[in-house]
Amino acid sequence: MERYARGEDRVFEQLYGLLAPRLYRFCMRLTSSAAEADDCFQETFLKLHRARATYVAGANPLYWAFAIARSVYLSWLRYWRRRPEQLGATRDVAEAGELQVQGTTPEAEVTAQHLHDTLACELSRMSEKNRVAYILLREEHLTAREAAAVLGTSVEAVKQRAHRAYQSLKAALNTAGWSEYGNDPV
Amino acid sequence: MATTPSERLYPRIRAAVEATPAATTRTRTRIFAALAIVPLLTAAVLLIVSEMVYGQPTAGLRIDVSSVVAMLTILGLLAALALASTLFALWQGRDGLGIGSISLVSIVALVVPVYAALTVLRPLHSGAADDVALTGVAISPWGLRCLFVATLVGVPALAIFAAALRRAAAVSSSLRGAALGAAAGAWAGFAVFVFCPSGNLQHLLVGHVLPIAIFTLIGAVAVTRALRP
Repeated sequence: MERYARGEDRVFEQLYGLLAPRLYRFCMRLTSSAAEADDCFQETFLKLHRARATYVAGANPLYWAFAIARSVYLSWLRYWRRRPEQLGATRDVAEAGELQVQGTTPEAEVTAQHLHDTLACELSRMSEKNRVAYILLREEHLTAREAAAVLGTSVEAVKQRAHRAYQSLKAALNTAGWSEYGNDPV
Repeated sequence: MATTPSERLYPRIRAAVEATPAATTRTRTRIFAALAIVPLLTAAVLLIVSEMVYGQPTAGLRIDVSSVVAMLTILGLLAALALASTLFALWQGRDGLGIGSISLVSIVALVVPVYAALTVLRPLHSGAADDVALTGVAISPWGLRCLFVATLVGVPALAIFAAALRRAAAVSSSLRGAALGAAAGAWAGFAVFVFCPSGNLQHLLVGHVLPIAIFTLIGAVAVTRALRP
């Protein structure tokens, strides 16, 4: 990233290869459909390119990219809030695709899909702040301090938000019939 | 659900990136330039304007000053306030994401009250200079001249700060804009303190303190978009 920030355009492909998988997954979690995730991902890379001179040497480029992706997403939310008619009928995350579980029985696949759908539905329903805190801590495995920097808030606030997200996921799973001590629906 | 980007996205992104120009001057360089330019600009404006209006530079530090020690103390504290708020507002940090929102809120919330506490609670000037007989200059109780001086310093300072952090605030950009506005306001307040010998409470509140609050608001509203990546 440091070389790209200095103006070496030819390292873009390398940078893309390093950032794209996790950044795309993060965009997927932020948004509610694959199409939106694609748009968010593209816009994030474009903004990352335009803002490359602002990159601080030694900083983790992935976390910086996460912050830009969230900024893109928040801009969209503001835009949609001003123009609610354009909210549109986006497919829910849970409907966006099939969970790929290989080498298991059909029953296990159905069970896994049910679990996945429940979690994805609940994640898409909860507040953006809680969701992003949860994603950064539990799915992207950032430390609370790193997540706090990406979100521009305090470590305590990040922990609280992630905890709230965790509680609501747990409640949703219980409601859907998943017990705390096993994978089988009750 | 696919959790990796589709292959067709890369050519699109690559084409968009190639068609989009990107700034090459590093933000750190722009920040250093801003830190050098704004104090010089402040000094230049207040020396020129003070000379034009009162016939002497730094009239606020020379006319009707009750105590030199108090004047130097307040002057030092106001300079420290302006410098500290600027450094914190422009700070990028090790991760390039700037200081946290709590620190930004502190800057936004503290600059106006601290400035008011230093200059209004115990005014340095007795109010004698508000009499046209002492200086030969009529000082408006509404501080119109001071508002103008504050604008001369604050607007360019805010523009320079915004240019320094252009596209650099991926996080808390509204708060960052407000903090930059407060910092620009602090420089404007510093200039007005050095420029104006008035001790009239209404004048101090309207002409000296209000511009800082206005610049903070302008920063939050007008600068935010320029700061986002």
